This record gives sequence, structure tokens and C-alpha cells, in this order.
Amino acid sequence: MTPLPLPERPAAPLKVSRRGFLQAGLAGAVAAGVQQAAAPSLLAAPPATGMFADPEYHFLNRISWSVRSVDLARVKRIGILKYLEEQLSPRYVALGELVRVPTALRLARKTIYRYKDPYDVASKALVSGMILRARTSAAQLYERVVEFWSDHFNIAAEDLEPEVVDWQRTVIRRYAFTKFRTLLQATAKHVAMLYYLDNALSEKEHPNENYARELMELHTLGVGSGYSEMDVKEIARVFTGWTADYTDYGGFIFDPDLHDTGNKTVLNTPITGATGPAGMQEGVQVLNLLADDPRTHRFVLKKLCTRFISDAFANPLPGSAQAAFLDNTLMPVWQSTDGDIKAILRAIFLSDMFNQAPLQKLRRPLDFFVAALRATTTVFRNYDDLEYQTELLDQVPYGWGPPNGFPDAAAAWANTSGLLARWAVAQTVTNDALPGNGSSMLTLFQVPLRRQKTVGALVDAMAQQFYAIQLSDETRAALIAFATDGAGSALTPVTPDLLTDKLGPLAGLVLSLPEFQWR
Amino acid sequence: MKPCTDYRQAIQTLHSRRDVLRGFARLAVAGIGSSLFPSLIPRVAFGAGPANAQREVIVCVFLRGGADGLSFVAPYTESLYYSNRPTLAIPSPDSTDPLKGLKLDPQFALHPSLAGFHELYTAGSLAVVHGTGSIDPTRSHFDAMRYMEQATPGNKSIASGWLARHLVSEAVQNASPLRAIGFGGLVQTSLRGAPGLSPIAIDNIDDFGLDVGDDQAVAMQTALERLYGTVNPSNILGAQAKLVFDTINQLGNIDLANYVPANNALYPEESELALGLKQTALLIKADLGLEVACVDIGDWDTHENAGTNDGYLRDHLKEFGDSLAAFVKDMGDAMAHVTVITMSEFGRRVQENASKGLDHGHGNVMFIAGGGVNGGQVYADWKTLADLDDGDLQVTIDQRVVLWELLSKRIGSTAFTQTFPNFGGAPPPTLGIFKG
Repeated sequence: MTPLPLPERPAAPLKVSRRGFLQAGLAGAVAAGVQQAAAPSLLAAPPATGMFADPEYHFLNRISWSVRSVDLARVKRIGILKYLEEQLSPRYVALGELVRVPTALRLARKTIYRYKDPYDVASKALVSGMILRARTSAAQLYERVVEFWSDHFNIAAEDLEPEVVDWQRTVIRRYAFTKFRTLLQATAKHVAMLYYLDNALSEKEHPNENYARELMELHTLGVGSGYSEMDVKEIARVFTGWTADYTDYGGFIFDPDLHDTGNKTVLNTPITGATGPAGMQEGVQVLNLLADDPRTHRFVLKKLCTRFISDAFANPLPGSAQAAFLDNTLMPVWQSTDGDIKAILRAIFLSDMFNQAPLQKLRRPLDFFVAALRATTTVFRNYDDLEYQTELLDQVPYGWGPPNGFPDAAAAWANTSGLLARWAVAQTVTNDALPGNGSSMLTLFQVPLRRQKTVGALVDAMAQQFYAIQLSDETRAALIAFATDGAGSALTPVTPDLLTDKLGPLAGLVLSLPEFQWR
Repeated sequence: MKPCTDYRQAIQTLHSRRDVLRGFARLAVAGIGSSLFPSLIPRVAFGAGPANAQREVIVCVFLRGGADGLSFVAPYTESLYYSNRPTLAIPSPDSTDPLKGLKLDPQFALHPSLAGFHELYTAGSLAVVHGTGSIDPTRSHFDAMRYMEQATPGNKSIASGWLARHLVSEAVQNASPLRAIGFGGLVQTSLRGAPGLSPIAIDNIDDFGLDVGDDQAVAMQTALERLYGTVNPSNILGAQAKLVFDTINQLGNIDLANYVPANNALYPEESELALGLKQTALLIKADLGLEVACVDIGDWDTHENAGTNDGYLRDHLKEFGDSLAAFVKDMGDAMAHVTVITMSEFGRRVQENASKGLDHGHGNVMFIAGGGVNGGQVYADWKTLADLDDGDLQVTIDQRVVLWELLSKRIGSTAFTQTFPNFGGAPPPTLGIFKG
């Protein structure tokens, strides 16, 4: 094995990803969650009827990537309470780690750098590993929470891939189910974050304010919550010296020589400057100060509720039911448990507020893709084809350039090219993946469906198999019309010709149903 | 960290992926032709713009990677130009060099690959702005592109593009679903992020449609329209689905494969830029309500062996120049109401590096073509190559000054603050680049 050059000190780490940039518009375009398209009156999600209004179905639809019959039967048997505890248990998290993912995801940073092209290896491992785990893991809720924190503490993988592998393993995944305070402390001490937000380059003569600003704006207090530009400057001074050890594959170190040892004032709290290794305690103190601040609690709770309940939490009006839920239900939970993430998740998923919100969330493109793979048991045998689908959907895992993470609310994602991409990907994982259609993908969804005798039975079985629902009359009629070219009925027999011509496109159409875009 | 060669590699990767896409296209329906829908193409009546006003179209060409403006337009009278660039300078038009530049005025000369531009310049329909760009000092491709496409230098909290903000301002010209198009498969940042605007991403018009076989296309569209309730959309996805099918129906009349450009215009083959411009011409002529088209040309990140006179840049400049010249020729008289502007995230270092290449710089050149342009002039507040910004050409003309003059004079926009939110309160004085 040839010795590898040490990672060089970055001159100017790129903060917007290659992919984001190549996708021309997306990087930064909806960066602040700016909404586009559709008049406000149209922003409402569709009403949830039938199975979608079922509490257990709704619960599973939200804590997993898609509802499978086997899981629905289990949650019906043991109840939501027990099912949730299973999902939160260390045993399930451990089970989830059994998913076969690329080896690099389990390796120490130094080992990854021994690959001939560590960036390429790590890049592929990140993308395929994320999708494999989301699709397959028994610990579905854990993976969803990992995804949430990956967005909250977003780091674009571009040019930092081996670091982001390490970051995911030793920070996000390790602390996803601990306390917010613990997670926050870990994020500040990882070089992926220090590179990404330029703190690795910060020194007392020229403090870089990038990390200090985003720490308050995005990670803790939230923008417009009352901190000042002076707080940004003071925190930047506090974190001088938090950098990478360039002699040892860039691991985190505190370098007292770079540290500004003067006294600072952060959020009206004096921070006593310290020399030598003790200077690092100033940063630890500031992180705790931020973790203690009720503004942080409310900001993070708001984001968790936006992700797991509905977009109405993105900007809750004073006096609204959402504001009341945050202030009266969740804030006390945070404060009595010191921000215990599992306790907060319990309070969210067992709330009436949650129960009343079925189908209120648009699946983001990547959610949709993973759900489609999961529903159809389709596998990819070629990495480039897999990544291409995520590019088409404008959501390559870890590919969001700016530090605010992929947008969450529906309005950011509902556009024409996005819809066409969903419909195309739906066909790709069904019709194109049927044996003999020349694709590098392979699906087996068709096998149990071939025995259905009538078109009505076929579409019913398909909906049940893909996402455990009974179709509404109108949806069923539209699917039957498609399968029979408008000339048949539910009782039309399934012929070999019909299977050849229609089975693949029909499966793609079932994945394209509007009901399946929402959850 | 990995150097910028990644950037070029990334562009190449994108190109190869596009090839993959084209490969898939044989599985896809090649557009949904009008012949399939004889009864489904009621031309949508778009909301009217200003009464009796001829619609103005902006074509924004982005040169990705940081194009070397000094290889496009040379300050040929300055000895520093030649001393800084032993191998990468355009020979003076006054020299006897067979590759000599094309004289624009007593100070500047065009690269000989841009012969088509020279004709337009001489005819008065092309203007050059030099020493322009985004005033933010960043030399990061990504930050610089973002600042330029959003026209909000130094401000990352504004998340919409300048053209997007313009298109949702009071200067609305019409309500077509095809008002704003980003060519290349995905929508450019300059068109994104404004509430109420739905820019369309088109790679190839003939491929914009449902990814199913010809025999399934009609049935699939019918089913999706029914399932999404596009007749009377009740939620955000239904509304977007309606827009998709409105667009497909509009494009149904368009046939790129059989399009014959006017005036014997010859678009370069195998060029992303030429393809985008050709489709832009087609859409303008089809009168489908296009107001803004964004087209890209990549691969300008010339860190080594730039080949201004005898290699890479010479050929790449020719692709750029020939594509734009073909567009102007194809449009003919219709250029009276079309303005083409070009930009790149930054220029490159004045001094060439040890690899006969050029590192990231700052100030750059911009070309503006169209019937509404006071052409035949170079607009610059030139500081000479002795007065540089950290080794790079200064930005002496804020790009937003040019963009605002375009919007105000050609479209009649008055939405200055809305379109350029961090540019101070009052519109800047204009440079006289545009008629109107």
C-alpha cells in the first residue's frame, strides 16, 4: 500500500456542492425555504381518506419510508406505544446496523484515506449506503431521525467525502438518539464541520465568522431570535483554535496557538479567556449556553414538528394550535429531560397534533425514491444508475450545498420538473426493471401479481402489495381505465397480452399516485 | 483539498450523464407529438401583458467555470498584457500574426475565433462590457455563481435568482407556462426561488414528456390528469401536474428534430449551448410566451494549458461565438425584441501560471447582443493592467448596473428594489448600453 499524502490544508473549502452547482439552480435556490409555485389556497395537502386516515397506518407512514403489510399487521397487533418503544430501543438500532452497506461506511477515517481514490469510494458509499439503510433497515425511525439531523447540521459531502463518512458514523449516527446537547457538542468537534464552515482556518488575527453565524442561525437559536452581530464576532473569537490536525489525517484538535485568549461576551454572558489547552473550554461553555437557551429548544422543536407532523409548524402563528403545542406540550418535555431526543419523539408521535395530520407531508424526492424501491423490492446493480436517479430528482444524498439542509416544506419541491422526474423514476424502478427490459435494475414485484385473474383484482393486489392500502373508488376506476385502455371494467380478464403491455407501466402509475407523493 | 480540476471533471461527468439520458430516451416517448392529440391542443389563451406591447425576450448565457475574459477581449495596447501572458495573449490586431485579434476600438481587440461577434459589433448590434462582474471578492466557483445568478453579492440570506424576482415583479408580460425556461435539464439559480414563478426545465423539447412508450403515452397522460385532478386542481401537486400537461400540450406543436433555422444559420453540432439557443429560437418563433431563457456553456475552468491561441480556448471560444452568431442569424429581424447577455462567475488571473493556464480571478467581460443594444462600443471604466485587484482585473462595473438597465429600458421594469434587494435604495445611473 502506497503511503498517502496527508490532506492538505484547504485554501478555500467549497461550500456549495458540485452536484448542487451542476444542478444549476437548486443549490441555494430554495436555500431559505423560499416557497415557489401555486397560490396559497392550493398549498393544502389532499384530504386523507380510507386507510390513510387509519392511526396505525399514519404512524407507520411517518416513521418509516413506506408502509408494508407485514409492519402494519405488527403495529396493529402490538399497538403504537410498544412499536414506538421498539423503534427507539438500542436493540433495533443495532439491528439496523446489520444492513449490508459499503465497507467504507464502517471504517476509521485514516483507513478510508488508504484507498486509491478515497473521495470516490467515500462518495459512492455515502449515497448508496444512505439509500440501502433507508430502504432496508428494521430501525426505520432511527434512519429518519438520522436524516433529520443530517439536514439540521448539514454538511455538503462535496470534496469532504471521507470526512463526511466519519462524521455520519461518529457524530450523527452515534448521537442521533441521545440528548441535543451531546449531539451539538459532537458536531462542533468534528473536522467535517470545521472544514465545511471554515472554522478550521480561523485564527486569532483573522477570526472566521462562518461557523459562529451558522451555529446560532441554523444549529441552535434560529435566525432573527435576537442575537447580535457582536455575538457572531465574539463566538468566532471563542472558536479560534478549533481546527484540524494536519499531521494526522485531519482529526480534530484544539490549537492554543491559534486561540484568542482575551475575554469575550456571548449573549450577555461573560466568557473568561484562557490560555493553553484550557482555552477550548470557552467553546464548550458557549455550546452549553446555546443548548440551555429556550430559543434553541423552540427552534429545534419547530423543525422536528415540521418534519414529522406538518408544514404548518414552519412558521406557526402566535396563538395557533401549533404554537400552543410547541409551548405547552413540547417545551416542558425538553426542559424536564434536558433535551432528550427520544422523549421528544415520544411526545410528538403520541400526540393528538400528530394524529390529526395524516397525508400532510409531501414526500421529498429522495423519500419518494426510497419508498418506491421499498414498495417494489427493486434493486440496483449499477451505482451510476442509482445515483443518476437521485440527480434526476434533484436530491442527491448529502448533496445540498448551503448549510441549511435540504428544504422540508412541500412548496420547495412541488414543481413541474420535479413531478416529471418522479413519474419517470416510478417507471424506471418498475417497468424498466422488469427482467428482459435491458436495465441494470431488477425487480420482482410482478411475480405475485401474475396470478390475478381480473383487472380489478390486479390493481387491488398491486396497491396492497406496494403500500398496504385499499384504493378509493375513483383511483381504482382510473387505474382500471388505464389498464384496459378505457374499454374495460374491474371484471375484465387479465390476459398475457395485457400483462406484457400494461403491467410495468401500471406499476409505475401506481407509484405515481398523488396519494403516494404525500405521507 | 482537491483542486479545481474536479470542476471540469464534474462538467464532463454531467455531459456523460446526459448521454446516458439520451440513451434512455429511446425508451421514452419523443415528446408527445400533436399527431397523438389532435383534439387535445387548445392553444391556451395567456393573460395579456401590457396592451399592444411586443413581448421582449431575455436570453441569459452563463459560461460556467470562470471564463477568461482576457482571452475574449484583449487590451492590446498594454504591454503588461503581453508580459503577463507569454503564451496566452491574443496577438495585437496591428501585428502581422496570422492569429491576430479583431480590432474593436483603439484599445480592445476580439479573439479571432469570435469573427461572428465582430460582424455584429460592426453592425452595431453587439456591445462589450469589460471589467464587470459581481462585486463580492470570492474566488469560489460556487459562491461566485450564486452571487452572480442571484445578483446579491455577499448576501446568502436572499434565496431567489435575479431573473426570477424580475419575472414575479409588476413587469409581468404574460402568463404562459413557458415564460421562464432553463435549458440543460435543470433550472438555473437565476430563475429559481421566487414565489409564484414555476420555471420549466427542458433538456430537449422532443424529450419533454412522460417517460413511457409511445403506445402508452396517451393512456398515461389521461390517467395522470384524472388522478391528479388537473381539471380543477385542489392542491399544490395537482396545480403542478396541470402545468406539466399545459406545457406538454404547448410543446406538442414543436418539432425540434425537423426544425430548419432561418437565413441558413448553422448551429454548431454537439454543443449544449447551440442546442439551447436553437430551442430558444424555436420557442420564440412559436410565440408560446417565452420571456426568459437561460442557457449554459461549461468547461471554462482553464487552470492548465488554456490554449488561447492554439488549443483548448481557441476551439471553445469558437463554439461559443458560432453558437451565438447562429442564433442571431436564425432570429433575423425578430432580434429587435430579443436581448442576449453573457456572463461567467469570475474572470481569471491576469498573469498566466506555470502550467500555461490561468487561476481564478475577478473582473470579466460581458457580451450583449440584440436590436435594443447600442452596439459597436466597448463599455468600460478601465483601470489598466497596472492597477489590479489582488492580481486580477478589477470589477469597475457592477453587473447589476447592466442588468438593471436591461430590465428598465427594454422591459420597462420599475421594480428596482424588488429585483436588486441589496443594491441600495435608488437605481444606479445607466451606461447607455440599451435603447429605450
